[in-house]
Amino acid sequence: MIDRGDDNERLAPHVRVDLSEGRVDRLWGGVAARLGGGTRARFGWLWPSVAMSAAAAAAITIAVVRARSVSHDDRAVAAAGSAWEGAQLETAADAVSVTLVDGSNLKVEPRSRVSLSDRTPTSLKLVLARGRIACDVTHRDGRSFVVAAGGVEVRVVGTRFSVANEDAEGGTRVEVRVERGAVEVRGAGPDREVVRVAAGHSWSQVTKTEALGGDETEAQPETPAPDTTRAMPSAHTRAPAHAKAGTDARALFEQARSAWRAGDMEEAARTYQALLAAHPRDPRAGLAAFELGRLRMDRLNDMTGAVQALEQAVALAPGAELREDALARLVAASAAAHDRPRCAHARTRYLTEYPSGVHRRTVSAATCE
Amino acid sequence: MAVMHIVPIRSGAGPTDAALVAAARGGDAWAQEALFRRHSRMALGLAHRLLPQDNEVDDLVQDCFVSALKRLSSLDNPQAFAAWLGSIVVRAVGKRLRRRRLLSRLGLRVPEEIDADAIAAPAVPGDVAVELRRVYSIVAQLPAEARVALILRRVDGLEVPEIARRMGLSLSTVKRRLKLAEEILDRSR
Repeated sequence: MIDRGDDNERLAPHVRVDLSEGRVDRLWGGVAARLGGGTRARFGWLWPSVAMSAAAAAAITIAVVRARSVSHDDRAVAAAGSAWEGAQLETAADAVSVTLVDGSNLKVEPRSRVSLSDRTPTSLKLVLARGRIACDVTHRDGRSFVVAAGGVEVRVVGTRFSVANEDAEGGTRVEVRVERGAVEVRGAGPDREVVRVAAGHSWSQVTKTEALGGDETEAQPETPAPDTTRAMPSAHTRAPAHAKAGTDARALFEQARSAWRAGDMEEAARTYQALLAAHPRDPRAGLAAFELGRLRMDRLNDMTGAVQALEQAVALAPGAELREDALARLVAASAAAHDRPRCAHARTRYLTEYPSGVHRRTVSAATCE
Repeated sequence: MAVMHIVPIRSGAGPTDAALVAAARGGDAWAQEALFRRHSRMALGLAHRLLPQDNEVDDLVQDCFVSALKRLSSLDNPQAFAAWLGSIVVRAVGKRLRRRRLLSRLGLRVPEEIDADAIAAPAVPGDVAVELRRVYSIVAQLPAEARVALILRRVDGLEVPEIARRMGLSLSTVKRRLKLAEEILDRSR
C-alpha cells in the first residue's frame, strides 16, 4: 500500500483518460465557436482530416471547394456567400473525414456525394445526393446546421448522427440515425411533418424516384410532388421520439434538461419557462428558475430575462447554496442589463445575507453604475 | 483543386504563458488557441480525476476555458495561467457536484456510480492500482468539498495550502474536509 500521507508521489499520471488529439481538436472547436471567432481567421471552410491516406486522397474529387488563404470573418463569408455554394465532395472507395472550422466532424462514407448549398454566419446546409454521411456537430448558439437528403431535411439540435440516402425498391430510402443529442427531421411527404429524433433512435422514409425530379444532386425539399411518398417504419425498429413529453412538472423539467444537454438552449429556456408558468409551486420551480437564469445569462445573452428568472429563483429559494448563487448572479445580470437600482439592491442584500459568502469578492467588486 | 492552409499550433516550446496571455488579451485568436492547446490536457486530466467516467467532463472543460479566456484581464500573474485555470476547473467541479447533490435529494438524478476498478490506466503498478481503487471506491459518498480535497491530495499529490488556493477555501476548512475524507477512507480499509 502506498503511504500518501506526506510524500508527493502522484497517482495522477496513472489515471485512465483519453487525451487524444481528436478530442482536443473537438473541444477547441466548441471553445472557439463560443468565443465568437476562434480559428476562423486561419482556416478555410473545409479542413480535411490529416489522417486521410494518400490512396483515399486520390479517390476523392473535390469539385468546387475554395479554401481561402487570407483572413476573413463571417461577414466576409456572408457577403461572398455564392463563392461557397456548390462546393462538392465525392468519395470513391474510401471514406473521408472532414473537420469544419468550428470543430464539427463529418465522415463521408465511400461512394457518397455531398455538397454545400448554403453557408452564412447563421446557417450551414449540406445536401447529400447519395451515400451516407456521419456528423458530429459542435453546437453553436444561433447557428442552424441542416443536412438535406432526398427531399428530407435533418435539422441538428445536437450532436452525433448519420444520414443515408440510398437506393431502395421503387425509389430512394433516407435514413437518419442519432447516436447522441437530437435532431429534427422534416419529412418529404405532402404534410412535411417534423419529428424529433433523440439519441438511440432512428427514422427512415422511402421516397419514390419521380418525387424528386430527374436530378438527384439537387434535392428539392421545398417542392415534393404530392401523393408520391410514403413513410415506413425504421428498419431499426425504434419509433421516432417526439418532443412533447407531457406537461407535468417532472416531465417538463426532464425535457428542459434534455434540450440543454442536446445543446438546444432556446428550447430548454422555453421549457423551463413553461414549467414556471404552469407549476409555480412545484418543488422544482426554484431550481428551474435558477437554471433559466443561468441559460439566459450565459448562453442566450438575455440579461433582462436573466434578471427576471433569478429574482424568481431567489424568491423560491431553491436550496441554500443555489439561493446564494442566484443572488450573486442577480447582481451581475442586473449590472449587465444596466438596471442600476436592482443591481445595488441585490448587492447590498447579498453582502448582508452572506458576509462570508463564496462570491463576496466578486459581488463587492461589481459596478452597478 | 482545393488549396488548404492549415496552421497547427502545438504545445511545447514557444512563447511563454505570460506572452500568450498578453496577446490573447489583445484579441489575438491564435494566442487563445495556443493557450488552449498548451493546457487543455492538464484541464481534461484534472476534470477526469475529479469526475471520473463522467460524460459532462468535456462540457465542463469547455466552460472553464471559455470563462478563463474571457476573463484574462482579471488574471494578476499571467505566467500563472495554468494554476489559475486549474483553480477554475476545481471550483467548477465543486459547483457541479453540489448541484448534483441537490438534484439527487430532489429525486431528479440517479446517484453517481464509479467503477473504481476501471480508474487505473492499463499496466500501472499493482500498488498504484490498489490505491486508486481504494480512493475512488469512496469518493461518490463524500460531500463535494471533501471529495475534491481528497482527490487533489491523494491523487494529484498537492499540498494542503495549494489545495486551499485551488478550492478558494481557508486552510482550516480544507484540513477539516480532508480529515472527514481520510476517516471514511480509513474505515474502508
